[in-house]
Amino acid sequence: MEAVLIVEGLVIILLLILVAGLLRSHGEILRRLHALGAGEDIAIPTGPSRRRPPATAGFGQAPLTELSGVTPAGDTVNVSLIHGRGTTLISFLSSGCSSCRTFWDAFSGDFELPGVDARPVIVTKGPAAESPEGVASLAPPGITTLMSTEAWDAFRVPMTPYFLLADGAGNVLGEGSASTWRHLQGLVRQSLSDSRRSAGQADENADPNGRAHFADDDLRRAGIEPGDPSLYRNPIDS
Amino acid sequence: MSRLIGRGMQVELPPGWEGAVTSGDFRELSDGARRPTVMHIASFPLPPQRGDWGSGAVQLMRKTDVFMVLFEYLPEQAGTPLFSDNEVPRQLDPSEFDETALQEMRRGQSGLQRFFTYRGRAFCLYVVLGSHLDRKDLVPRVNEVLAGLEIE
Repeated sequence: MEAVLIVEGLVIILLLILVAGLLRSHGEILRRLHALGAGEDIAIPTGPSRRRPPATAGFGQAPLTELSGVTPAGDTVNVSLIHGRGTTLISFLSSGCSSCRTFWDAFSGDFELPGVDARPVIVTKGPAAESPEGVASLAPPGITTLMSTEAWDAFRVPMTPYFLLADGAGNVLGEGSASTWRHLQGLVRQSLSDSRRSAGQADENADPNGRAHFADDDLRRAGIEPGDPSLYRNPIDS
Repeated sequence: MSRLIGRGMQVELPPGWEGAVTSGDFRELSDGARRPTVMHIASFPLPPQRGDWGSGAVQLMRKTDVFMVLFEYLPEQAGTPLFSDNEVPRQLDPSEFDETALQEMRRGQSGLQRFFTYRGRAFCLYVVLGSHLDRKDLVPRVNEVLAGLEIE
């Protein structure tokens, strides 16, 4: 019996050493990848993300009350996040990120954002990290585009493209990544819906463009209309 | 308060205000004109496309808004009769504002222009009030910003 306990103890110690070694090597890999700038071209089609450590100064408050930087033309710009007029959609984009191209193109066209008062602002890293000429060639003429590494640092932007919706008082309503314009629209809808709900103003019919509507769109595209028998079939039976 | 800094000018912006400074440097444009340095200050979100004197922006003003322009003229204009004042205007009087002094006439708004030379640089300060009727409330806000304006 005593021998079994000793063997068990040795096995547990070996396992602990193995786990510690794996964690250490994993940490080293992540550290080296981060040093190489990896992850800046990763687009993960998620909804509103609240899993990363909050980059907020207080509950729901953006870490900055303004975005300050330079335009690709070299103009100095201060954009307020506490202007009190509607929402601001901050799009953290990069000129070299292939996933960002969708959004550069979309912002240059006739785009639609949920919420009629959303003000889009594009933020790239500063001129030390981005080519002003490259950004200028992509910057949509009707949208404020500023270059500010400080803003990226303050908001702890984890990847590109990355989006953050703030209300007129500088409260972050939602943030996350998106790979398509439709994902972005869903992210914005979800953020607006969540904020209404948390404000106690939402009810079942308050947001017809919310998640349920989003799901309906997906089903309709798959040829499944409301009332389709497949919706009521027990998946275990089929 | 945040600070807008550019081209040897800086100003404290009250919370919620925005600003921009163009990179003029009087570089020659394709039509032979020389690009001035222009500072815009607004109590409302500035549209990215706007004229030097505020076209495109003043249309968005509410009654409680103010819009300010600091337009720098060519260095050879400094000290000429039009720019003979040698102080930065700091204390504007509501009675100086006029509904006809606007670069772009808009109902209810009023404006003011002041030309001056400071440290060898020739400027025009142009201010638009969202409501001429409310000028006694709005001009102190303008003066508050002018108090924090620094020119090198």
